[in-house]
Amino acid sequence: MISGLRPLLAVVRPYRLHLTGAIGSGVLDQALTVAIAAVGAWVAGAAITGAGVAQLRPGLIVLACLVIPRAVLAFVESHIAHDMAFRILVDIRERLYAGFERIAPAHPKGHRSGDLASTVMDDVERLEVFFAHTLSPLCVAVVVPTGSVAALWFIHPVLALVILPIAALVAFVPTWLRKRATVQGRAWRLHLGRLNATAVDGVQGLREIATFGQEERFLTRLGEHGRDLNQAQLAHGSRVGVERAATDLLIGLGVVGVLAGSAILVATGVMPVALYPTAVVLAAAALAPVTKLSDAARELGVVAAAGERIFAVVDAPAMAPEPASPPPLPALPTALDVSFRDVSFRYGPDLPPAVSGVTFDIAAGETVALVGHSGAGKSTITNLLLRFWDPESGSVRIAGNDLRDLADQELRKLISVVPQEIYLLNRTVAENIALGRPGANQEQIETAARAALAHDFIVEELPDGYDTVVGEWGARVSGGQRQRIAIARALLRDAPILILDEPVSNVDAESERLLGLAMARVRAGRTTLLVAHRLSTIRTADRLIVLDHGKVAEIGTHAELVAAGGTYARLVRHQLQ
Amino acid sequence: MTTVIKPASSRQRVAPLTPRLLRLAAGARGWLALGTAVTFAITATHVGQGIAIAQALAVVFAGRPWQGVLVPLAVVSGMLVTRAALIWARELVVAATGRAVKDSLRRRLYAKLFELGPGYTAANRTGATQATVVDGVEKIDVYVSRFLSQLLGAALGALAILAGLVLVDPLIGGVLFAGALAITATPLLARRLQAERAGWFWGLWRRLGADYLDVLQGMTTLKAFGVSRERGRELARESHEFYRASIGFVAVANLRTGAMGLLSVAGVSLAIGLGAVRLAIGQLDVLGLLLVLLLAREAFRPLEELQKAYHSAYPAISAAAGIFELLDASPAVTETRHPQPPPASSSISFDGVSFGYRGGQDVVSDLSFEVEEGRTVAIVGRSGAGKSTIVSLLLRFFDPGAGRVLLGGRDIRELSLARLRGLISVVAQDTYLFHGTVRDNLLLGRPGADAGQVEAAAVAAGAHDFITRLPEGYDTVVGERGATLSGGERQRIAIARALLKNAPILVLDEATSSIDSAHEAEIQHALDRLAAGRTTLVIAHRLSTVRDADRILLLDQGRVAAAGTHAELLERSAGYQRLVAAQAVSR
Repeated sequence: MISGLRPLLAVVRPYRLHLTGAIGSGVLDQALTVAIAAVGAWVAGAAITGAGVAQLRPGLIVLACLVIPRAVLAFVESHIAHDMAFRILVDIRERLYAGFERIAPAHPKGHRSGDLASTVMDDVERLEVFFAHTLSPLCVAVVVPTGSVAALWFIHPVLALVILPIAALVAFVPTWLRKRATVQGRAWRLHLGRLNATAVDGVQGLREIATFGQEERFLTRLGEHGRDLNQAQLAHGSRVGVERAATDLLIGLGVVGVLAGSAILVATGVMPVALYPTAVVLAAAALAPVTKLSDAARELGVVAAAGERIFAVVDAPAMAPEPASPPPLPALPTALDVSFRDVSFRYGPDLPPAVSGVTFDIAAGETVALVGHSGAGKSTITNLLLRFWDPESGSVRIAGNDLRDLADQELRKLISVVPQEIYLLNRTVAENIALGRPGANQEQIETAARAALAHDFIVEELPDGYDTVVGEWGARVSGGQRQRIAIARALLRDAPILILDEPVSNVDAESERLLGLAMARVRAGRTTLLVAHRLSTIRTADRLIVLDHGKVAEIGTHAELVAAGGTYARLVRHQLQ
Repeated sequence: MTTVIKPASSRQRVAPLTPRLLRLAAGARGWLALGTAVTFAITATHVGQGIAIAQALAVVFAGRPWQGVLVPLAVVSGMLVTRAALIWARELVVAATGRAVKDSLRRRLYAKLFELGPGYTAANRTGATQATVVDGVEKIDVYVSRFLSQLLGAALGALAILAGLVLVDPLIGGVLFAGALAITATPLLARRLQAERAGWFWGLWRRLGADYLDVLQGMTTLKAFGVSRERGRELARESHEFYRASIGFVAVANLRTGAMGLLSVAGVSLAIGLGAVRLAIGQLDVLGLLLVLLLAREAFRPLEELQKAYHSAYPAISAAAGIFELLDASPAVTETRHPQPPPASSSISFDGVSFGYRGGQDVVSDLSFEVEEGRTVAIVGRSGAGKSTIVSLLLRFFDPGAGRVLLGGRDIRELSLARLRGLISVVAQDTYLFHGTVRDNLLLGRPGADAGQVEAAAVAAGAHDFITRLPEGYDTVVGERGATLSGGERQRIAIARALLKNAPILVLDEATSSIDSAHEAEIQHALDRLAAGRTTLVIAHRLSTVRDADRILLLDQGRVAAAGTHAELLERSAGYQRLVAAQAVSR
């Protein structure tokens, strides 16, 4: 758990001033709280032992003077701590973004894409507890009790000796049942996960539940999972209850100890009776901040878990590190050739190779189609050409330049992509097209859209034309339309190399025809790597590279390969019929 | 249309203590009473402890022998032990309260959701509904078991202590009473400002979350186009704006907490100071002052704790709005009161059916067609022509605005929903797999089926081979949304399910459209086997899959534009010819 917190401490370093301010005001605030209680008790003690109003006056004035500063300090402490916390959260979000950017399109281990946003928002926000509510109370919980114990020592050493062991015990309450807490926390998360998965099933699978008449069975299952979770929560609650009770009991015992001890000290004349209430109040005050410590310790597990998820991304190394000082790119011709030389790659050390010994060339201006079953290595080859990863061995070159020697920005300028799964940002259609060339004007955007056969539907079917904001996952734009927007984007980018990944799922016939036309246009004059699924698309390529289990099985034209009767012929047999 | 779906913007505002919100806790009334009692008892032990300590101090101040403090100390110890037990019990009561609240609420919400049916979530509200039934329930739990159960106990405890102190000394008691009232009123402080800042904060929180989600999902694209860094800078600016909203929001909250702290400390100090002065001028006795010293603080403690609990229960109030919205929604279809026995024949007929979603434009209008028993009818047309709506109407997710849907000559509104849906198997474009094993998912088709029947169905659906290749075969737990299975594999599971269900009517809703063309033949084969002998309705935009249908209907803007066999339509219908021509080009 502590190791999960270490990187969090490192993040605080630039905010030392904030932290000092928060701790300073926090200590003063708590010290004043104790002082007010002690002075109040002293005033009462003095009055009881016969002091007149005149003698009480100094004490009353001090009391009145302390009240407002204490309130102000409490505000200041909280404000500084929160200001620091929120600033740190901004930093962490920035670093998280950089981490995600570095490793995309890979996901950090244990993350699903839906979790990513939750890490950036919820996990980061969870750290607020640590920065705003834990760090400075932690210091206060050490400093203030020490001061109170010192004050007790000043009244009489015996009282301090009574309180010290109890303070230590209170501080360690959360560690007593630590093991059980870990086990219970795990059981809780497990059952909660199951219940949530079932609950989500009930909403997303509503259609299936209705058509299969599973309502009653579902409710039964939900009830069972709910009961399991409740059992876990009950066990957890019982443990927390024991800890809270133990803490409260210990503090009470401390007060009783001081009460009894002082009574004896007063009775034997060692201690002035007027200090008696003060001693009792100090005893209570010495222990109160320590409970905050154990409350914080209870939260730390959650914080550490969130921190772990965050720093897994923040500290993730780049999949393809940019060269430190890339040599300047020589002047390149307008058409570029691509070559893969004996390229092997695997996504993880314990995974089988995704491609091995792949060698092929694409001549400048040529269209080459990658063909093969899913999992044959088609996407891996496009990923390597985009340098999302570096090959394990072999090299990928553009016009003779190894990709590893190119600056990221230079490389990106050379390639445009029409991916299979097109993600449209939640912005206007125009902005989505202009992604291909930031700063493009409306005329250029429209020209590209026209060429991609997207202009008509944008103007006619979308409510605000080019200014229509695309819903999440392009909800309001159909699959075929999304493809054409992506093609417009690629046209606008006007890069010499094109990666075109054909969609697998079928769109309706009319969309498919338009898409085919648009694809033909965007390819014209560009070196194109085409990932193709349909025979109609495959046939438009100059040459085919047939992949089988990560290896190049065959290279040739459609006619040649059909005649050869090999892997390719078997693959397309059904479509040829 | 009968579906009443309120737009999110018209969400009613819910006050923290409306009768309706309290009724959500109805299932836990007994536990709530117990929780109140325990909270009150805890306050009582604090008071008892204070009084006993005051007595102990009085003994010492009176100069009596120190042994005199032993009895009060014994009382204090007794209070301590009692309170420890009560504190432990309170946690158990809180857990039990939560259990009672959540179980009944969850059941109620899902029962309602099932009554509303798929028509409700189809209106693009899956996310919001999920937030309500999953997270909303947890938030209501915090509200009930932490806040409500403390509310009464704390208020009663504070009142009792204040009343006691008024008896000790009316003036001091009055001062403390005023302080307590002022503390209770602190939430009223800067309420407008608080609401404004909260709106600012939550608005930016949602925007930042949406923008991060958007950019993270599109990261590969952004990176490929070399604009990811620029977008990162934009987000950093937004994030900084969110920082300003956060600190602005917290500053107001701190202001109120600060005011509360000031009132509490000032009130206690004033009470003690007054007590000391009144003792000095002989208007209060020693025990009275000691009681003020030790109990004044206790009078405020429950109120402060209540404020904290209120703060943590605040999200429940917004969750309640979503819960009420769900509970108030009226279902798109209602169950008949006198269900008829199932029809003898499984023919389908649409008779002059018109329907539009949410009172909008008609998606199908005056639609009539028939599928004779055992025959296959295909419906083709451009997307948006109303094809999928036909399936929703047949399954009675919605009722038509005009006209009738008949099954074996009987209006489907006369059948019970369960019976109607039991007669129909659907293989849809996307197949939802439930959290559980592959076997559980197959058993959905026929809950009582044995292993042999399940396997036979999987074999017939062409699913057996890939299932046995999974790490634990039929007992492999499928990832959420079938993450570990491809579209084609999920499709075959759906086919096996349908085989197990063995219903007389089969609906194929774009069943092959998300399948890799390499697997299309295999799946088409399995589908043919499934359709054999059943009344089958095929919805498709890929013509190759419907060529063999007994009849093809060409749908255009919600009407049947042409009907006939493939050959007939090729000859007669210009629209059909266009469709075929378009596919010929692309194929």
